[in-house]
Amino acid sequence: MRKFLAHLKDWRNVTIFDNTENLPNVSFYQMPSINSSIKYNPDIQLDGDAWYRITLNETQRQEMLWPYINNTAWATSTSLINAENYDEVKALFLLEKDDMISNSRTKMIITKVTTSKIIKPQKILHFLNWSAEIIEQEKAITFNGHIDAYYDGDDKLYFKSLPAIKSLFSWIEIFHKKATQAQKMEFLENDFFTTTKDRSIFRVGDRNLRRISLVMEQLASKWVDLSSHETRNKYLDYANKYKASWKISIDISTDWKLQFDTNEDLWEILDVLEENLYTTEISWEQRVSHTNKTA
Amino acid sequence: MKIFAIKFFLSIASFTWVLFFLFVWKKINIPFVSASWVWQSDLTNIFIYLKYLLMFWGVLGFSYIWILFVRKFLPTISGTEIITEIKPIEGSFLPVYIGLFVIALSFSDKLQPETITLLFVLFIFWAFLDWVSYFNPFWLLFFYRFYEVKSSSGSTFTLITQESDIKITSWTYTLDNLIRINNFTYLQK
Repeated sequence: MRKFLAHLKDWRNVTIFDNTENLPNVSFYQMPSINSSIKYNPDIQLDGDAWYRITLNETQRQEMLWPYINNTAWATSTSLINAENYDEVKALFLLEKDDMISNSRTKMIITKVTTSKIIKPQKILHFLNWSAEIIEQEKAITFNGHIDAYYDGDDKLYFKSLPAIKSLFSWIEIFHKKATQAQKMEFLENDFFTTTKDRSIFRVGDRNLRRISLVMEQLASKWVDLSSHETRNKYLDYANKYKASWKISIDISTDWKLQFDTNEDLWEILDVLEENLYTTEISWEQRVSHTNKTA
Repeated sequence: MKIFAIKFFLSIASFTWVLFFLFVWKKINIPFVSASWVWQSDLTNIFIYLKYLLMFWGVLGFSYIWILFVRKFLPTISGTEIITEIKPIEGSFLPVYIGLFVIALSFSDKLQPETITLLFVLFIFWAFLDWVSYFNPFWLLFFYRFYEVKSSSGSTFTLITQESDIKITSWTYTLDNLIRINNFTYLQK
């Protein structure tokens, strides 16, 4: 079974092509073959034809995919699209299911339709060899077969860019934030830091969240252990040097620890952990660099 | 365009049988065909019945041709449908047609071509609203049955099929080779 549908603004699905005569119109829109995929990490760039991948549990599948594939894969379950609906289309998607196997899963590829892709009826000057003609363009949506996301029927969702599919899947934001929520708590509760605020409700900005996940990965990969006194002393000496210029607060009341009370303090602590602060050789200027490019 | 034409003539075929019965009931003569040139007395009656038989075959043929066109020219939907409830529905169309018949009868005392045209237009309009799902009793002669079917996705539609007396014995029943006539009427090849 192959079915090409449109997802409308009010969460309805309507069929565009569903039979042996009109499905060949979208024969170029096929399930992709995923050669390489990496677990989603916003700070890692994709190369070549790689895809980001996220694994969904039962609840996430239900919230994110059911609006598209629940009860739409059957022959009579959706009505045909009407010309009036054309400017309500939010996404175009193709479902594929093997009817020979019972309980087979439905695969899906989906393309977002933004308002820029919706063409109003207009006159178009059409160029041919040695001549031109005016064509009355009817209501149309441009569609070149670009795939924004692919669901493999099981529990994995593949995509190339998270911002592009944010509006398609309602819970993908929360999915992304939950992963960093755990990391955030792990970071804030680290013994090396101290704060007068309540850590469980401490609000960490989006950019800091990303830096936290990156820093934790980098420290783990370099075998830096924040619990060892030696490491901590090294960081404290380093922080001390730049304390005045960059407003890093070091709490010396209980034990020597880096203190944060606001989101901005965290920014500075992360600069320390990433060793972004340095002094120039010749003019002895204190600078901060965020490029982190190694040789 | 082709789909629109087939649906239009399907709905005409749904109502031609009403007109046929109307003609027979009111003993209306078909223009240009009269018994005057046949031998007098005994054979006149036979000729009238022959005329009605020909009309019957004409309407039957017209009804059958459009089913053939639907099977041949309308595309098959990819995929299957799983249904959970099924019910024969021919019985519920009869009151509708009897009602139409009675209305037509009440007009037929002053049967002008304009009245017939108006009735025809009303019938077709009614058919396009999908109220009678293209029901045509002549199709029963070709072993087509009409069922009201509830699918697993919760929606109800009309199924026209040549399989008779379907009952769902296992938990579900799978339909395939469906042709869409409109969003709520499907023909199984």
